[in-house]
Amino acid sequence: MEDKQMDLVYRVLDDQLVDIEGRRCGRVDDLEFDGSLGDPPRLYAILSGSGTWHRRLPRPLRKLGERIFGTGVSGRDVIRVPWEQVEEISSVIRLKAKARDLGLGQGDERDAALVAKLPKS
Amino acid sequence: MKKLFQIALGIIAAIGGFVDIGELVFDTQAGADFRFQLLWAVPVGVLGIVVFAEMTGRVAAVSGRPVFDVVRMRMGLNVGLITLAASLLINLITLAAEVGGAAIVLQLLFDLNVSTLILLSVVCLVLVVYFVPFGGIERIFGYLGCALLVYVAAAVHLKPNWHEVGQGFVPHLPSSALYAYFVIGVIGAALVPYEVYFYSSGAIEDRWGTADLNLNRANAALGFGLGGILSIALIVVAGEVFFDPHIQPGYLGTTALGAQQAFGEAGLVLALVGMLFAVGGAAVECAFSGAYTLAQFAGWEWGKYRRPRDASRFTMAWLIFFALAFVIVETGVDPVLLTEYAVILSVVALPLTYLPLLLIARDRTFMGDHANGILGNVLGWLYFVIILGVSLAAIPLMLITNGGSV
Amino acid sequence: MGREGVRASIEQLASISAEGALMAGDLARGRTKTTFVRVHGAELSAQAEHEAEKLSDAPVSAGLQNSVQGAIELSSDIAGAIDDLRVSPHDRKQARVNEVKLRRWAEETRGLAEKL
Repeated sequence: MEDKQMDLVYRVLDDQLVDIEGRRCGRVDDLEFDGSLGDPPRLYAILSGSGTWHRRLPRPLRKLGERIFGTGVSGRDVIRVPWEQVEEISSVIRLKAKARDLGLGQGDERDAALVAKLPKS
Repeated sequence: MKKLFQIALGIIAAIGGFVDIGELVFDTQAGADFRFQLLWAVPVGVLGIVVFAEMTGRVAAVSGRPVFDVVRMRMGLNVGLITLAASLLINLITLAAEVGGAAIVLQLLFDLNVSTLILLSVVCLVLVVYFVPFGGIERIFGYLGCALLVYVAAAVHLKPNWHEVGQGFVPHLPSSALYAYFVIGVIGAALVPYEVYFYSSGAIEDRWGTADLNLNRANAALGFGLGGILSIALIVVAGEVFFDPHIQPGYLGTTALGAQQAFGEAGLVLALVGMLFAVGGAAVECAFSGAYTLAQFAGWEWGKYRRPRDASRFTMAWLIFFALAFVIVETGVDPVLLTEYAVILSVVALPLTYLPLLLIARDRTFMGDHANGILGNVLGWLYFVIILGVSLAAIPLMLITNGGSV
Repeated sequence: MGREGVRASIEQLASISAEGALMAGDLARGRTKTTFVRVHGAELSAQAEHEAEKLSDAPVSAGLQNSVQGAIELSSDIAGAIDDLRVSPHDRKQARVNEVKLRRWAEETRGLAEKL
């Protein structure tokens, strides 16, 4: 493989997202490309969230997948992170911004309110 | 010198932490049914977990990836989801078995209502996990679990025929389905995956890097390896005490009786204390493993080194695991039976986590110079074949032998 | 209940009796803990009763009747002796007597199983 080429499935898909503060904030659950027919496609965004999972399941299981993991509502169970926000690809995908600013890690924030009520939390 | 001392302490904790309810049940039954004939299966299982743990520790130290990170990455979403579901189910059954085991041991010590003791066990475990730092948890349960070394002393004290014991280490082909079932049980009890998930995530919690690779090797080989001595001792004691009178151990109390036969009340108390901390420690590892698994698969923040509110879903996950285990045990299901299912099911699912780990441990893109060498690859693939064979045979043998009861 | 089932149940009774004998022996020599005898004794005697119920409830062929009947009678003796241990864990003399009895019953029960 040449240096400038990268196997996206091998190196990016399903990998851990980490924000600028070192917080784990989701995984690369899917990738989004744009471009018209005849033009070279351009990697446009990372999709993160369980709402993408049903599309990757075997066809007969997709309906069930939608019910369990969500149908893919943008901003709720799928977060779109522009590819420009990727700082580095190492053992994790390091992002240039805070998770909160990108809309990532919402589940952790939601439960944090509950956990914060515990002593010494 | 300080580093050596730390390694020694870590190894002592690992020895005490090696045994869980799986060994207490399967090794005792194996000795009672087949005397020393199944001893050879212990080193097979122990070397397996040493190989698996060393690889996961190395992958964690070099690439910063814990087990379920690797599973998700290498196996993709679909196989990953199957692995996740299987692992969570097995973790939960194992956790319920360990919690139930802790309650039974407490009952043998204090003769109180078992329902109250189940609640007490869960509450104590949750409080320890919540308030005690990671290293402290490992040490409390690991050191006190070393009380189980009473079985090593008992094995010597009971003066077995050492020639026969030695012959037990020569592998021989299964003479019956029951024998084959126990071979799988003894190997499976040593090769429990939750210990490996815990070990690998622990390496990241402790911020291991390439400088810690020798520590990893020492911990995996000596900690897990020497822990195997406890398994051997359990089989020898059961073989000496229960084989001749044809006793079929179906209770943790029977396992404790073995130590009592050697050393009376002191032996009994040491065995029960050791068991309590061994199953308690295993329960903590199980609950953590479940939470690690879920968090790593979904990409949530995780770790005991984070404040609970900073890894809130991880914290909720292990709390929910304890709550579910509590509900399961309170239904009155027999923890010994749960243990048998947990060990057999975990053997069945083992290749799903072992294979991706092996693939990444030998991949120079991720591991650089620390990828598997020749020995690592030979042992790695050899154990993949063994694990696959054991995995395929487990369920049929469980059905044929009616869970080892024929 | 088939021959194998009856045999497994009777072997289980023999095992309980043998284990009860070990416990009784330790109790007679003051080498055990009262709570252990109470709790583990209760588990063993409950299981002996459970095996007896299984044997008496299950329809068995005429050829097995004698063995089953013998095992049921022995099971109540075995459960009774183990109950003695857990109810009076300080009575070492009785424990010594029960040790001998339980050992003998273990052999008798095993004899029944082996005949099948």
